[in-house]
This record gives sequence, structure tokens and C-alpha cells, in this order.
Amino acid sequence: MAEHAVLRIRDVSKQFPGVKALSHVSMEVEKGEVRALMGENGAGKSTLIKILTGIYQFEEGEIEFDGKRVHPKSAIEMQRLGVSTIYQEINLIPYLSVAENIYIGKEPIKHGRIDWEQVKKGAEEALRDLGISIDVTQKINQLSTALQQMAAIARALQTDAKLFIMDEATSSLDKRETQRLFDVIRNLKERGIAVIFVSHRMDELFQICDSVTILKDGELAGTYKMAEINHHTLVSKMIGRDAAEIIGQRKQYRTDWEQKPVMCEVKNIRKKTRLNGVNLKIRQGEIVGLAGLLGSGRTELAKIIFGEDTAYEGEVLIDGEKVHLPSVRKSIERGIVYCPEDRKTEGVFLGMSVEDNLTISVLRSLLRGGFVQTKKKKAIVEEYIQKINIKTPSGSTAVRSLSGGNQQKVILARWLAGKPRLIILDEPTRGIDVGAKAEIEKLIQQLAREGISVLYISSEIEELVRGCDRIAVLREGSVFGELFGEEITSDNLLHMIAGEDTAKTGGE
Amino acid sequence: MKKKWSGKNFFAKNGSWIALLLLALISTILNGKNFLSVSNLLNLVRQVSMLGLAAIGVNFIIIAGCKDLSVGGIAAVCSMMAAFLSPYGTAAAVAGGILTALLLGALNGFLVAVLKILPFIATLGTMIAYNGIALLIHDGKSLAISENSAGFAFLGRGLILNIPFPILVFAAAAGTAVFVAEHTRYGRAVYAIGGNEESAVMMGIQVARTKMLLYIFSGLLAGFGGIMMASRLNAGIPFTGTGWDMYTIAAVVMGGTLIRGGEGKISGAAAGILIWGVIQNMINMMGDVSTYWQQIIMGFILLSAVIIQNIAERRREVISEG
Amino acid sequence: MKKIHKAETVSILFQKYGAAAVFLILILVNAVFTPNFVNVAVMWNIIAQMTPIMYISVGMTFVIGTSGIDLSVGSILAFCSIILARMLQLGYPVLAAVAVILLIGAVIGIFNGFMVSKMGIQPIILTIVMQMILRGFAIFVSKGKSIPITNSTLSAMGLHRFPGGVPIQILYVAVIFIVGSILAKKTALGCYVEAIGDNNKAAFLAGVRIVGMTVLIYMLSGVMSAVAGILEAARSGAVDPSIVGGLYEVDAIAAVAIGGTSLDGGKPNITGTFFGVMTMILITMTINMNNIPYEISNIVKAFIILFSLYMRRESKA
Repeated sequence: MAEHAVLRIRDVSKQFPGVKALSHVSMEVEKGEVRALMGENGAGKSTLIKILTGIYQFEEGEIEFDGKRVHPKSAIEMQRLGVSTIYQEINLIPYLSVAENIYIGKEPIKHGRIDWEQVKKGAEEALRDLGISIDVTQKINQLSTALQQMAAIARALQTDAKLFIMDEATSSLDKRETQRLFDVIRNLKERGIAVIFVSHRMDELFQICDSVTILKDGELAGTYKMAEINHHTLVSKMIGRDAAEIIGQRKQYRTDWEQKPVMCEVKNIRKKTRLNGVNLKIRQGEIVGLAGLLGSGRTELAKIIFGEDTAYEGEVLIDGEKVHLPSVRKSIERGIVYCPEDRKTEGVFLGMSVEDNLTISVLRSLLRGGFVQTKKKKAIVEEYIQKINIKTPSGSTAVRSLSGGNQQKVILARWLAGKPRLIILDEPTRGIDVGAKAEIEKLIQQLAREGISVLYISSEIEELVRGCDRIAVLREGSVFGELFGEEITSDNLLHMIAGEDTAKTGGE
Repeated sequence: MKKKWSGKNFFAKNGSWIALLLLALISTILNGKNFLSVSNLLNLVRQVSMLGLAAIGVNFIIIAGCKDLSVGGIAAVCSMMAAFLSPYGTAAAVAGGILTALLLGALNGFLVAVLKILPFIATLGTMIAYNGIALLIHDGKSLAISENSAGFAFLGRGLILNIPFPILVFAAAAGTAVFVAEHTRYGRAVYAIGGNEESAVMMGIQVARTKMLLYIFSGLLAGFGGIMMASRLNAGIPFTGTGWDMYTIAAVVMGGTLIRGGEGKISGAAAGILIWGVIQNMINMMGDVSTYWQQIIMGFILLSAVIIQNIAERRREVISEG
Repeated sequence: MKKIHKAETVSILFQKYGAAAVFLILILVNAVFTPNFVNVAVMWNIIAQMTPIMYISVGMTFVIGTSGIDLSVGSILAFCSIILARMLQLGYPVLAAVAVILLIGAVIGIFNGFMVSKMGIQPIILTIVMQMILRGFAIFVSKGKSIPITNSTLSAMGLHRFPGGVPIQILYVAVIFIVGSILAKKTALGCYVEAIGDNNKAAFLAGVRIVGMTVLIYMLSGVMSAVAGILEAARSGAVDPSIVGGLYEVDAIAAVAIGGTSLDGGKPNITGTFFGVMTMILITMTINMNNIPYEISNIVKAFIILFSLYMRRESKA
């Protein structure tokens, strides 16, 4: 077995001032193996990945790659050795063509100039090998995230990559695209290329991975074959406590929904090719899930309800009254708020403090005579840090030093501080570790109990099934169907998302 | 895969050349043969060739997502330097000027690529410094070219096949630049850096080296422009290059290159510069009207161009989302 | 993982007080090398000369805070002072003329802010264009010639000196810096500006009035330029349309950058800008008093600016 190992890590440690990030971690990955890498934030996962990609240097232990001892000093070095990384964010050049992105830096030269024909042909071939055939001359930012990732993989294969590290690569993909990526991964397996797969989505890991390595507090908690382990054991090894609470019971279904007033309603919303007549009601204190494949129009609908997108036909009603001249500010005034999908580019102010990030939307209410009342401001911040357990050294800490989960909590607090009536959550637990995820899910239930309505957009079936009172499934721009109460099960939801064709399971 | 020929696309891609043609047309209507005569046209292009050289360099730099405000300063120093060295012969004057240009460009490159100071502020600083040096060389006064450099006059006033030398230099530089941009790895690397610098680094592109070369290249072009100016005026003038920082950016933007970088054709700089030239020419022909009108008109045209570019860009975004 | 507190504190200290440090070093160098450094008369003269840049810097701090830039300030100054001079020449009362140009400065600023926020045009190219147009118009209005100013009220406003030779300008500058600082630190404006500069999209989604705030700060910048124009005209007695206000934006931007406000956008640091401007003044003083030729002054200035920026970069890393 050992001869087939493409990567061998032995007793590797890494120390930062004040904390030992990795302590005597060992692991072996074979050619063609798909290994899941799991662990909570702070477990050492990202440190290990940064060492494998050459960004950090390790102090103790040794690493063997493809049979040779390595001690890379830079990311480029590891790349040259054959380790390629695919991230959640696309690291390509948006305005260059697909073909160019695959070849940039290594374009084939003929007669002293770039051989553009070869670039085009080579790119088409590389993608065909992955089972994809598209127009490689179009700018890469015209493609969906999934296809862009495939281009990134094609590029890496040009450099004879032997190991791929996929770091949360499926976070921005829907079910159909994820399956496509999995097909590509299986293709890589056949070629003897290994994959280290990092994701918080456990059902995915069980689908595609052969084995899993679990890290906890910087140490190795164990490496297991997927066949030998189940969800429960996996989670408990990661967080060391009983996970029943997390992968727990679905909430009890209420029977008095018809009496509750309708807080927000959309009637016959149409938008070009995206939305085809959406009708939806959201009642006070109700948690309505919005499910569907990418492209079904979920985020578009959310942006329309929030007032960010004003180019549509149809009506948005709040408390029964139509909204004229919608705008973001008006929505916020009426108590409708939106937590964006991509918190890094649309949510947090990375250069500002936790305090400032939290109070930005309620600043106006903190003014007296034009001046900000600092005491009141700090009080609100303290209140919410306590209330939703935001882990931060202080209110004046820069928000960029917080973990993803805590940053998300800050954004939630930003809206909660303004006492909203409807919170639209767009993939709220994306890229957040299991512990923080559970906290956020509990928080959402708490909010509903206090009478706040929630529109819950998520691609994670389990999450929706656990937490929603009702789930509306969008398909090709309109509500395909809704599930209430007892009807809410993973199977039903998957069938509905996939459409009426029950022969297929959850996408192509 | 069939691609429909779209009128809108054609305009978008070649907008600046169309604008140039329109302006030329207007000038022909107003001035007839005076405008269309070979001597006038050659004169027009010659007058903007020096600035044009600098604009080519700036175009490359903007595509890379950087800025170079010091081009005017470099032109000034090189013009003074050439004059200063002219007592030692033409070769000394030209070589010295070029060497100076390379050095000043390298200093810019050092500040931006190695010390990683924001290009805008770094070249703002060097602009101040270089202008200062230009003043220093001869106490703020202009310096005549010495008789020992009789051949020097050719650079600015010579003709080859009846075409003024500066025009040939400009054309050659433009042609080379277009080739480098579209057909060499280096050129594509520049586009990559402008498109997404972080990604470019991760894709293995040597960003620091590319930027350094870029600034040296830009310095060389601007410097040579200054040398040709000195030749044309038969003296080094410390105020050479005044306004070049503004005008080069204006020409580049007029030519269709986006200020954010990552996209744009190098030939755009040529189009923009020629537009500047045509306007200058039109204003000269109006006689009484003073030169500040050139600035005002150019400013308004530029404003409209930028607004149109912006609307087009936003439309493109909406379409790709839809 | 625990945070590394020590290293953080040192770099924060440098960022906050780096400008002050450079300033102190310059004072020390001068104290040692410059003859008659404590020549108060010369000092006041130089400060009076540089007050226009001080006003412009305050406006520029906010603009840069939103990750924008205003390169048109020098030509707004020129245009406004020419209009002022022309109106006085034609016999209009001083107050009317002053009111008019303050309005002009505001309108130009509003236009700039509107173009940047609503039309989405990049500030650098927009303000370069405005610079071209306004400078051209300034020359046009004055037909290329200098316009002399002989109004006594105006001169009083600009040239009056308190006992001891303290220029009245000090008063104006103090007021503007104090008001600016209060705006930045104690009102919501500072937060909004920082948010817009940090993450425009997030600010919009968080309910910040992007267009309103942007128009406001560019308007402030325009008004500050107009004020600078008034005082420049009052002080110099004649306005030369092609020279007045030239390169003022460079000094202003340098002052803001040295003062610590990040050029990519961030917290508007008015106090920092104050030290930045003081540093620029000190540089000018150092050069004048040591009879260093004007040509070298620019080089020295550039070097000190670049050095300060490099120091700032180091502390950020």
C-alpha cells in the first residue's frame, strides 16, 4: 500500500506565537484516493492546507510527495511539484477568455508569437477530458461558478497535478453542479490523481470520499474509511461532544398558521428570464424555507423583496399594502432586512471594528443632536455579543480577525439591533463550522418564537428540513410546490427540487 | 458557433476610431483642403507624436491596473539631459537621454513593484521629484542644443520618405506595443495582472518583474518623447511634459481602455492621441481662439466618452447576469 | 488561535502617530541646522501661504476616505478665484461675489459626487476631466490675463494680522479643522464614509445612503476649494488663471496620505491630515529658510512624502 502513497505526512507540527496550530499530525493519501479533511475552525485544517500548498513552512516532521522529501518555501514551488488547489472563490482572471485562463503564463509559442490556435484547441481538449464542451473563447466571467472551477481544474491538469486540494469548492455550487464536479473528481481518480476534499457538507463527503481525516485542536483525531464511520461518530470526533443536539430533531409543526397575519406577500413577480410569476406568502413568526437549484431564482426573489432589485413586474405587499417605489432603505425602514449570500464582498466591513460593523444600520437611531452617543452604542454591542455569543476579544477588535461563523453573527446582530420584522437569510451557514452552525440554527428558531418572520434560502436539504415551518421550492422561476408540516422530509424535498421526474435523484 | 454581427458591438469595440473619423469629417467640412492637405495632416500627427509615445506606455500601465503620473516629469528631465550632454555630440546626448529615461522608469518600478507603494501616490511623488530635477539642471531655464550635435535635429525635425521622424517612431512604438500586448506572454501577463492581481500571483505570474519592466518601458517612451521635443525646439525646456499626466490618461481612456485595468486595446492610445491632435488642429485653424479651448473641448468629449463607457459597461453586466 | 497582541499594538501606534513622528523629526532637524528657525515672522508668512492647502486637505480627507479622489480642487480654486476677481472688477459687492463662488464650488462638488455615485464614473478620471474643463474655463473667463484684486474688505478678510503678526487665517484654519474632526469622529458621517470606502456594496445593503453621502463629501470638497480660492485671492492681490491653485491637489493628497487616511478608503483621519499638512509646511519652511533652491524643494518634498508612505506601508504589513 505504501508504494501507492502520493502524499505522506509524518509527525508535522507548526507553532505560532502563543499557540500550537498543528501537533504531530500524520497522514497518508494514496494515488487516486479522495480523502475528506474535517475539523472545526481552529482545529488546524487551514494550517495543514497552507502547509501543503506551500504558504506556511512546517517546523517539525517531514513531508514526502510523490516519493520525494519536500520542504517547499513558496506556493509556486508546491504547484510545480504537482499540488493544485481549488477554492470556493474563483482565482482566475475575469476578463480573459476561458482558453487564456487555462494557458496564461505558459502559452504555446510558435515562430516567436503565441500560437492562439493551439491555445484554443488545447483548452477545448482539456475540458473535453473532463466531460465539458463549451465555447472557450468567451470571457471566463460569463460562466457559472461551477464551470469556472472546472476551468481551474483543467489548468491545474496542464501542469501535471498529482494532488488536488479542494477547499470548500462546493460551497457556491448547487446540487446539479456539485454532481458535475463529482463526475470530474471520479475522472481524476481514474487517472490516479488524489484529492483532499474539505467541506462542511457531510452528505457530500459520504458521497464522494473514500476516507476521512479528522483534526481536533491541532491534533489528529483519526483517519477512517468512509464505510467504517457514520455522521454521528464523525461529528462527535470533531467536536468531542454528543452530536444529537446538532443533527437532531426537526421542530414541532404548529397547526395555527392560518390565523397568523400575513406579514409579507409577493404576487406574480416576473423578471425577464429569471422569474416567471412567483406567488408566496410569509406569515408573522413563520420560518419559510426557499429551496431550489441554482438559477431557480431564489436570490433574485430575495433581492426583489428586499428592494435591492427594482426592475421587475408584479407586486410586493407588506402588511397587505403594495410597496410603491421600492428601495433598500424603504425595506429597512419597514423592518425587512437581508443577510447576503457572500458576506465577504457584500456583508462585512473588513477594515472596521466589530462595533462599527454591528451598529452601522442603526447609527441614525443613536444620534442625539447630530452626535453619536458612544455609551449607547457600546451598550448595544455588548448586548448582542452576549445574546448571540459572538466570540471576540472586544467590541473594538477588527472584524477581519473573527472566524467566518462569528462574522456571520455580527451581520445577524447588525440587523437584529434594528428590531426587524422579516429577516431574509441567504445561505447563512455557508463556510461555517458545525458548532457555529448549530448556534445559528438555534438562534433562528428563537427569532421565530419572538414573532420575527424568516425567509430561509439554503442549498442544504437537512438544514431546511430541520428548521422550517414551510418550504417553497422554486423551479425555473416560479413556485413549483410547497411542503407543510409533516410533509417536510428530505426525500419529499429532494423529489420536489428535482421536479416531477422521480426516477432521477436530486439533480442530473 | 455562429456569432451575430451586432451593430452595438461594433460601436463599442471601435468607438474611438469612429469618433476620430467623425471629428476629421467635421474638420474637413469646416476647413476643407486646409485640413485634408498632406502637410497639415502630417503636421497634426507630428505634433502629438511625442505625447503619443508617452500615452502608449501609460496605456500598458493602466491595463495592468497601475498608474504613471510621472511621464511628464521624465520627458522634462530627458529633454534637459539631452541638451546638457549635447556639447559632447549627438550620440552622447541621445544615449544620455535614453539612459536617464531608463533610470527614472526603473525608480518608478522600484517604488511600485518592490516597495509596493500605491502606484498613484508613488508616481505622484516621482512626478514632483522629476520636475524638480528638470528645473535643477539649468537653474529653471531652457538650455539650447549645442552646435556640436548637428545631427540631433534629425530626431525632431528630420524626414524619412517625407514622413517626419517622430511619426515613424510613434507608429513603430504603437506597432510593437500592439504586438507585445496581443502575441507575447509578457503582454498577456500584463492583462492578467490588471484583471485580478491576486489570481495572477497564484497562477505563477511574476508580478513584480512584470511591473518593473512596465515602468521602465513607460519611462523609456516618455523620455524619448522628451528628447524628440528637445530636438524639435532645439533646446531642452524644463516645462516639457506639463500636463502630460492628464493628457495621457485622457487619451488612453478616450481610446477605450478602462481605468480599472484588465481590458483595453493598446491601439486605443493611438486613437485617443489622434483625436487630441485633430482637436488641437481644428482650434489652431480657428485662428483667434486660444488654446484653452482645446482643453475644454477635449474635457467635454472625454466626459461624454467616460459616461458612455460606463453605461455600456453596466449594460454588459446586466446582460451577463440575466 | 490567540491573537498576537504585541505586534498589533506597535503597528497601530505607528499608524496613529507616524505622521507626528515625521513632523517632530523635521522640527528637530530644523532646530539643529536652520539658522533663525524661530524667526516667527517668516513662519507666519509661510503658514499664511499654505492655508489654502489646509482647507482643501480637510475636504480631501473625507473624499479619500470613501476610496475616491478629487483632482479638480486646484482648478475649482482657480475658477472660483477668477470669477471672484471678475465680479469685483465689474463692481459687485464683496459679499455677493463670495456667496456666488461658494455656491459655484458647491454645485461643482455636487456634480462630481453625482457622477461618481449615481453614474458610477471612477473618481480619478472624472476629476481629471473636470480639472481640464475648469482650468480651461478659468483662462477663458479672464481671457488669459491676470486679474488684479483691490477690494479692501477682501484684503482685510485675508491679510489681517493680529498683534504679534499672527495671520487671521489661523482662526479660519482652526475652525475648519476642529469642525472637520468633530464631523469625522463624533457624527455618523465618519462611520458612513469609512463604510463606503471599505465596502461599497455592503454599505448599500446595510442601508447607508451612498449617493447622498458621496454627493455631500464632494460638495464639501468643492466648497473648501472655493473658500481656498477666496482666501488665495484675498492674500495675493492678483489672480493668474493658469498658475493659481496649480498642484494644490498634490500637496493636499500628500498631506492626507502622510496623515494616515488610507488611500484605498477607510477612516477619515482629520487629526492625521493636520499633521500631514504641518509636515508639508515644515518642508516648505525648511527649504525656504535654508535658502535651498526651489528646484530641490520639490525633490525633497517628494522624498519625504514617499518615505512617509513607505513607513506607513511597513506598519500596515
